[in-house]
Formats: sequence, structure tokens, C-alpha cells
Amino acid sequence: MTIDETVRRILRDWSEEAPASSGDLAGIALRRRRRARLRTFAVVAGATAAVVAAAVTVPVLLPEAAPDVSGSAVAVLSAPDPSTETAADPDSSPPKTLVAAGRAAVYAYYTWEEVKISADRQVKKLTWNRYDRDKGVYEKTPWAWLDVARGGEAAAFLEQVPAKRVGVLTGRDAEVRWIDLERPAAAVHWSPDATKLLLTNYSANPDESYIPEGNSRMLMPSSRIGFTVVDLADGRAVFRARGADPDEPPTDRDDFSWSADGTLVWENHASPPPTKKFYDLEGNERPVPYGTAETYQQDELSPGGTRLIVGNTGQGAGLGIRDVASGRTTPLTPVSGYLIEQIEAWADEDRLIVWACEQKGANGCVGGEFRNRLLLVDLKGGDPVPLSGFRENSQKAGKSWVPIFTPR
Amino acid sequence: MDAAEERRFREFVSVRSPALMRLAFLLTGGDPHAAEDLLQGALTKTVARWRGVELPEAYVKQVMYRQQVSWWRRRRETAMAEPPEEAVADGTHGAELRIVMRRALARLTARQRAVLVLRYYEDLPEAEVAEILGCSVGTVRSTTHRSLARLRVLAPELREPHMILGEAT
Repeated sequence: MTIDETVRRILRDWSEEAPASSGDLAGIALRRRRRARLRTFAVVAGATAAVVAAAVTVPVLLPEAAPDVSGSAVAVLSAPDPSTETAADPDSSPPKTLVAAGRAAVYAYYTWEEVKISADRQVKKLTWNRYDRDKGVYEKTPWAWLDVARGGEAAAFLEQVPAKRVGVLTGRDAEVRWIDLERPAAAVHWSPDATKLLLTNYSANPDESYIPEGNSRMLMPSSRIGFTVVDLADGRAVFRARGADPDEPPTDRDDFSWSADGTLVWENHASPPPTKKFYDLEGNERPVPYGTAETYQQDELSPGGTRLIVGNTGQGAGLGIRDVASGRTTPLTPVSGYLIEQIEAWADEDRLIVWACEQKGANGCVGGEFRNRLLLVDLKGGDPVPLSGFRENSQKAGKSWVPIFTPR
Repeated sequence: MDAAEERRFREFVSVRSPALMRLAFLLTGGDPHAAEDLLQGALTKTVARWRGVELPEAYVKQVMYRQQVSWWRRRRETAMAEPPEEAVADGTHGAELRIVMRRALARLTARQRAVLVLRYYEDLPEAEVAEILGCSVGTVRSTTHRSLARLRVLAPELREPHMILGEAT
């Protein structure tokens, strides 16, 4: 290979690792343009005023008229990690070293145990593990809830569930910044651009429940009271009341999540379709954006918007991928002896990270459906890559772990 | 700019920004923050002339190239953005070469890198590169030659038979 060809290939390969823009490029350009025009007008108006000695209300035209929100935001709390290499620990469950592929990484996972608190009640207690980049391994944290921002450096956490304040670590060695909350919260999630936090507020511990009798378990009435959005630029936390819908069947938790672009939040809708209900950050119900409420998946549209995860395909497989341009749906069929059970994240436009079991017969699994591992599958037909060892039983405390996928 | 023009601008940015970001990423030597700043600055200049711009993508690219080169002219220093230190090596010589090459590309001057990006990433002929950068064809040719020579110095592996991206060469 000549040096020309080498440089050409290196540049093309490297360009694929360019991160997506973290901000509203068009909106910022338009705002800057408006502000520049207003400044120009203000200078001209001021000069005229000096000549004719007339009062000119120039200040009204200055930045207040077109605030540049982007300028004041803490935009670089967590920079995207440009790496897209596949990292796997196929012999460990839970993994000891980083699990990542394409643009998605597991910077945190949790295990859990059921702790009896009275004769008929128990609490599901989570233990969070976070990836330590310096040591190259996952390490146990003392926190009751954890979410890591894109890039893997910044973290938000709760000391207990529910908690009246949220802690934010803006970097690996940064000091904790505490933000007080008006109402207690039991979950926190970073916005996709890492400038805001979304907390789900509860009046009681949502992980408390009745002790199961046989195979059934009574749920507590929902204690959800709303959500809080924290703007990290100024630390302001605004609570929006939004209790659980009384028409929805009760669930353990009813947390809110961010939409892919961070402009809306959503909660599960248990009587689909659609599968999700959306609200703006003021708590007003909003129409369902395209390609977001076919399944309960966090991100259904592929990063480039060309493919969509869909639920029941009616073709024998539970899950499928719809080509957005043609509308054609392709069921996710078994691959290399693995049965795909659940999709976790898009690695990139052509690859998915899924839970898969070892196939037994046509639709069975070796060791049962709850024994599964993380697998990287290639929609273009490449060999699947195991990313983790097998969970012994995904539903049982002590035999399972739950990964949290975050953009790199 | 009226509402229809603003909508057209937003659509253009929405559709083309991933490709433009890739270009900005290469021009800045793999620095995601500098890349976003470069692209944002170019888009702000573009929106100011939106009505008169017939080929917006070509215009944005030209602004980025010239901006990058003029920054370098003013500062007279090389862009030293570092590729990720912890890029996961896959154990092959190809992966090592890739990391070494990225590091070397990041250490070129902005002008040298811009010429290589135009010639090898955009696949443009020398005359077109000269027009975009506002210099002569001879300058493009000599800059390309010097840039490749500098890459060979920064990445001695290029002078040896090697594996790249998993393929024997």
C-alpha cells in the first residue's frame, strides 16, 4: 500500500470517529446572526442620538432581546469520547473491564438484593458499579443511584432513595457539587448533551414492595409526584408535578427519561400504542415524535435515522428493524447459535447491542430464557461478538446485573 | 432572512452537519471541541450570506478551510490536539500504525493537514485545492510533498512494509 493510499484510509477511518455536534448548530448560528444585527443597529442608533441629542432606547435592543442561551451553558461538563473501538469482557458476568462498541458504552451497571424491612415488606437495594478509566475496571460505588454522562467522566448520584439533594461530579477528580431539590427524588438521568439533569420525584421509596407469596407479588400504590429538571449552568432546579396516571396499571418504578434530542421527557405508556407518553420540560403533554414509541426501548431510531427498532413484526420473531426509507421490516432472526431476546442500544448505523441466549431448538434457550449475555450483532451479516459473559438468571438477585448504556 | 429561508437553513444543517463535522474533526487534528467551534463559526458566517449562497455545503467547507489556515497564519503554531491516549489497541500492527498516524496527522500544521484532507479525504485535484485555499498549484504540490515527508518523519512505520487496518500490504 502506498503512502497516498494509507493516508486516504487513515483519514476516512478517523473521520468516522467524529462525534455528533453537542449543540443546536443552526439555532446558535441564527441567534448569533440576530445579535450581530441588533448590535449594528444599536451602534447606528447611538450615533444618531449623539447628533440630534434625542433619547434612543438602545438598551432594549441589546442582548436581552435575543439571549444566547448556549453562551452561558456549562457545555463542556463531559466531552464525548472519540473512541469507537469494541471493548468486551466475554468471560465475566458482570463484566470486570469495559463493555463498549461503536458509540455506546457501559460506564455503569447495577446489581441488586431484596432486603426485608418488615413482616410483609421488602426493599430492592441497588449496588452501583462505575467504570474507572484510570484503573480500567468497574469499581463499586457507595451511591444509591448513579448515572454517568456521555463520555464517561461526569456522574450524577443520589446518596439514598429518595433523596433531597443530588450530587454531581463534573470530572474524575472533581469535588462534589450538591444541588438541593424541592421534592425528594429516586432517579436521576443526564440529558444527552450533559447540560441538564432529569430527576423523578417520589414521596416514598419506589423500590419498596410487599414480600412475594409464591410467584405473585403485590405492588405498593405509586408514590410518584413529578419530575425536576436541573439546569447545570446555574444549578436551578424546577419541579413539575406529574403524578402517576391512575388509569395505568401499577409498576415498581415509573421514572421519566429524556427524549433522544433532550427537548422532551417521556414515561412508559402501559396501554400501547404508543408505548410512551411525552412531555415538554414544563410538564405539558406533547405529541409523540416520529420513531420513538414503537417499543419501550430508550433510543429506537438508529443514530443516523435510517433504521428503526420495531416490536411485533408478525413474522415469527419478536423484534425487527424497519428501514425508514422503504418501510420494509426485517425480523431479527437467530444468528450463529444465538437467539436475540432484547435490544439494548445502537452501536452505530449497522450494529446493535442486544441480550441473547444460546439457541436450543427453534425458539428455546439453553438454561432458560433468562440466561443471556450481551452480544454485538451486525445487521449487514457479520459475525456476532460476545461483549459479556452469561447472566445466570436475569430476573434473580445475586444472579444478574443491569448495564446502563451511555453515549461515548 | 424570512421564515422559509430560516427553515431551509435549519434543514441544510440538520442533513449535512454530520458530514461537515467529520471534515471539521479532521481539519482540527481530531479535537472534537475545536471541530465544533470551527463548524459553528463557518455556519454563522454562512447564515449571514444565506440569500446569496448557491452551494451552501461548498461555501461552508471553504470557510472552514480558510478559517483553519488563517488561524494558523496568525498564530504561527501547529495544532497539537492529541488523539485519544487510551485508544484500545487490538494487538495488531495495523491498530498501532493507525494510532501513530493519527498522532502524526495531529502534529502537522493546520495548512499541511488542510492540504492532505483536501487531496486525500475530499479527493480533489490539485487545481481545485489551489482555488479553495487561494494559492498556486505549485504551492499545493510542494505543501503536499512536505506534508507527506513530515508524516514519514513523525511516523517512521510508514517507511516499512506494514499491516494497516487488518490487511496485509
